Amino acid sequence: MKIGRAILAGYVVFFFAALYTPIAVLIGLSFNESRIVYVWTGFSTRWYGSVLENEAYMGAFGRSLWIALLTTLLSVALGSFAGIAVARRPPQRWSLAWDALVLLPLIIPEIIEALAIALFYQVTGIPLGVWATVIGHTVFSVSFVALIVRARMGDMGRSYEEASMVLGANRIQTFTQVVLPLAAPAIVAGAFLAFAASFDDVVKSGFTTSATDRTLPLLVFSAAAKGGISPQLNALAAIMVAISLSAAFVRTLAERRISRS
Amino acid sequence: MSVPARVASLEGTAERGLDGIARLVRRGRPLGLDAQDRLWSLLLSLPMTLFLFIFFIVPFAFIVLFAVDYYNDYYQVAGTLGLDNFRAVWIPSTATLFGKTALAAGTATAFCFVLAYPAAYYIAWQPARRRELLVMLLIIPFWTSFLLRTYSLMTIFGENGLANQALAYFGVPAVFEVRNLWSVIWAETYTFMPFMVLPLYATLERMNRSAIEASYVLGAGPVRTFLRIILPLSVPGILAGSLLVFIIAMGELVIPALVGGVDGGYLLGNAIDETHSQLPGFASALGVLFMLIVFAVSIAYIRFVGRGGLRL
Repeated sequence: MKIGRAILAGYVVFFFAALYTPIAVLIGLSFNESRIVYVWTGFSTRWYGSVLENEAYMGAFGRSLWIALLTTLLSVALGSFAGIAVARRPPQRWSLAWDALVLLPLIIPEIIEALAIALFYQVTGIPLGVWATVIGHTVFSVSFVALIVRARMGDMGRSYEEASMVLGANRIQTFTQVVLPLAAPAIVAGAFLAFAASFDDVVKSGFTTSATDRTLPLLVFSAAAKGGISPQLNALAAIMVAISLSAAFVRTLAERRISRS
Repeated sequence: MSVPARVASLEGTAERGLDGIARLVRRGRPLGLDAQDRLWSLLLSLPMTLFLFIFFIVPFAFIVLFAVDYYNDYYQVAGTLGLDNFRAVWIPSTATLFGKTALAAGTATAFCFVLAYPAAYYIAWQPARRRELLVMLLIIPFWTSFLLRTYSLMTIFGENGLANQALAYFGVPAVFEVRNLWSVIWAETYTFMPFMVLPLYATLERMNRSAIEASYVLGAGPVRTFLRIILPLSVPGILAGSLLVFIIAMGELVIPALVGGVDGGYLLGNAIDETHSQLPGFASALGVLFMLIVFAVSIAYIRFVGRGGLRL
């Protein structure tokens, strides 16, 4: 038994090492001074400089940030209200349909969703571009927000709201002064997830952006598919990983607050 | 005003904003608190429901309409129905395409399960504090882009990559390459690991511990307890994890394009991606078949594996 447990613990160490090695390698190699990716010639940040000077990358970077920000705002506005509403509603006939509506965007393969919305845009004449992409991303991002907010508000029960109403607050007051503050940590957690999902998206963006307004992941994808790896791509990838990881970090803090309260 | 009076005024009068609307809806009859509640929830969830209906449900109809020739390849209404697109798809090379994609996705799912189960099992049996930390470590890679993690696999396992260099250091000839179906399978295994390990962990962590104790008390050894109690009880997690990984891997196009080479570089997702703007009907027919397969696999899996299929 003891040997078995030691083997298992050893395996888990290996498992986590395997999970993190590629991310660590990516960040490590981005500081390599050499033009050849695999030959370590010394520590340098020159490739970060060359990324910052690259107008195509920086333009796409700004666009990706803008799209992710708009997606987050839209997802929070739509998803947090819906999540609150469903959590406080007694189970009824439509609950299952609502669950399906919110879960399906996360379960259905993204390529199918992307194809569907691209056909929809073509037929209805909605032009491809930033807004088309924001709407496309919001379809999955809103589900993240709604699910997280619902889980949080469902755990909480309705006694706070009832207390507020009994003490004379009307629905609007109860909503803005009691319900929203209670939901805030979950909304923040959902917002970061929505942001990261949009910022990292490749497939849907590929179907909803026009040739002139590609997002950053799309540029990285086509560069990697064509030319393979390069030091400049390494630096760019490291920057993107750093952004995602800081979003993850802030989200974890928000989640901590949820579990503490 | 006393508290009961306030409650009474809340219930009885319908003067404030929403309550007024509620009253109109009910043709002047005052609502009970419960019905007002429902209306309030309905109003709150209406924007999202409308949004998803317009930009998620309605677009799906277009896949079907394009697939059955209602729209032609010039995005115009043809007004006819036909199966030409399905005939165009119904060729041996498409069967190979589906077969190859399913083979890669199925193998990656199996690898994910075998590699993830011991880790999820170990974490689920840790004390609460360490468990929290380990779960956080599981979730973090989830946050880094799938594209970038695949890219970093290229730097490690490419022909001149770090892994082969390490082997060369010890005088072993290069063995790793990233240009075939196997590299797609391994990259999918690595990239989709969180989808497997998190549901497995959730099931194992919630598992009824007294059933396991009972098994030991009644004289079963660790192996028998594992096979007859723990494994069957983890079926919900196994189901959720493997369905998720399989479905996502079936539609994957980034990984094949990056590490698939000639052999594994063109799978189902790539076919839909490349044909969708010129041949939307063909791409839609592929999409419809894909969705049918996804539904069939999900239903079959839940029926056969979910109900008694895994009793060992």
